[in-house]
Amino acid sequence: MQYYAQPVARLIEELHKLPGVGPKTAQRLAFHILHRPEEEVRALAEAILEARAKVHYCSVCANLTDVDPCRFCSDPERDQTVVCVVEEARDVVALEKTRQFRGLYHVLHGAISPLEGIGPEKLKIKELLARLRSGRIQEVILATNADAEGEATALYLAKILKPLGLKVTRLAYGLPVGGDLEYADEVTLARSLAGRQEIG
Amino acid sequence: MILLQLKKMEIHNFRSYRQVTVLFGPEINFIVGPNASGKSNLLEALAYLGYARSFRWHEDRQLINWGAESFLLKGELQSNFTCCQLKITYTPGKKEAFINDAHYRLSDYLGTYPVISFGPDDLYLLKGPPALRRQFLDREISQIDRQYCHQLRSYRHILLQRNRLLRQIKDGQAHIFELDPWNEQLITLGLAIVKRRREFVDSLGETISKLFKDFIDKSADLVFSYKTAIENTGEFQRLLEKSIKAEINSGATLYGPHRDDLNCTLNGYEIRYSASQGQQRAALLTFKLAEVTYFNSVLKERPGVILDDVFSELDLAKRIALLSLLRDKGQVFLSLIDLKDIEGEVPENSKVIKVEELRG
Repeated sequence: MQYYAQPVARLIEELHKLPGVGPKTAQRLAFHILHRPEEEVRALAEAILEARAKVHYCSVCANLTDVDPCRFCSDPERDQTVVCVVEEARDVVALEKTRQFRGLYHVLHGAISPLEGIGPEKLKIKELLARLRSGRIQEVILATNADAEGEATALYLAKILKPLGLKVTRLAYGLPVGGDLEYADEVTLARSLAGRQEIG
Repeated sequence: MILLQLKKMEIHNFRSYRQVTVLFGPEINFIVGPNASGKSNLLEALAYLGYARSFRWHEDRQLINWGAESFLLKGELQSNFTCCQLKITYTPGKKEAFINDAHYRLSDYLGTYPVISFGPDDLYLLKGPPALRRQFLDREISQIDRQYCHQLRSYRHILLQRNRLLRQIKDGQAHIFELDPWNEQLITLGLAIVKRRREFVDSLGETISKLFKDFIDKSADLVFSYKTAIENTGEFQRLLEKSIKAEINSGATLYGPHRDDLNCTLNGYEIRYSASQGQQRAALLTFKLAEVTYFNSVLKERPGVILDDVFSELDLAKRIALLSLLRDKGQVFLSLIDLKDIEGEVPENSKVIKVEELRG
């Protein structure tokens, strides 16, 4: 039994491929789109196509950009001696929102995971090494995730960066700020306890 | 000390039960009935509310009542003055736990209703492969230490990653130096797990030895010990380096807590080879009774004690001694065929539940 007209079915199928979109959400989005005026839908379609066509990897830091080198890499105001290594482009956004970090970035596009067939050679590590050898960078901050894969990636990088004689640091593990202690899960709390610091 | 008390349990489509509600007393509950009347199934349901798995080492799928598609267990648990509703549902491929109707991850649910169980199938623990004993230790420790439960999960994940990498190295798809970051995590987590398991077994030692002497055999010396090849970081590292070729060939991690074992000796001899079945049962029962004391001291809570067919192979004097030992241990669930087995010596405040009357 065919529930949808063929073009509707195709639209739902395509939307369903997006991350975090299940069959029900896909159906809802599809019907929403079909109810909008044509120019609005065209604007959406064009926005998707334009973004896909104009955005590529920065030749220096591998972040997503429409100009090369990207705005971060070509900004003279930023500290050129510190580079923060992250797994995904969206992590750059998260760090930028803190307004605390004014150095450069390097996006690996993933983390080491043998189960998914991702070895170090599949990440933007060669690019990072080339950058470190030629540049003015003095400190590398490893800001990969705190899960097994992010940890493995950080440990791997720490090891191969060591011979370069740079300062290599890792983000601290700890409590979420602004949260009540009692709501932190036991694992986070135990890690924060292990990494406690002297005060005053 | 917090008294945990399961006041009521509802069973839907679990083992031989279609639908039944059972009310329990605060101290010893005698579950009475002839063979094959459903005593063990009732205790299995009770233990399932605690462990979220069968204490008789059954697969979840085997627990569904014949002809049904899922089962559901509900419990009303009172601790001091508060009451909470436990609920576990299982449909093949999907097991869910709820506390007061809020959904919990199984690893977070575990420990809400701590239980200690003893049954005939536990003999496999001594006779069976080491994997069973590790599974048993993990189950017990997870009930009292949630962080352990998470460490165990991370360890298993890292093991999967590392084993896959070993196979990729064998096939020439990866380099040997890529192992380093996984080794480092394997060692840290592996040692934490070894340490926790050893701590657990060691802290039972004294109680086990005393209980066995008092209760079973004055002149016997019963010792449980945790057996591992790795004691510290340096040793673990050396073993990994030494076995690297074998590991790559077999595509498996050859050292770590997933290779350890729980040992049991009676008067210096390994119990699984030298002791009678009765002695083996007595040794296990002693371990479990010692756990009750340990849980009390760690949790400040009295766990539910589930004893299935504990009286067979114990003479009358030992049966009576066991009952008096259980008297101040909180809520106990104990199955037997007939109250004649204890010559009607039912302790005060006990409740007798006749399984056949439950079916209505």
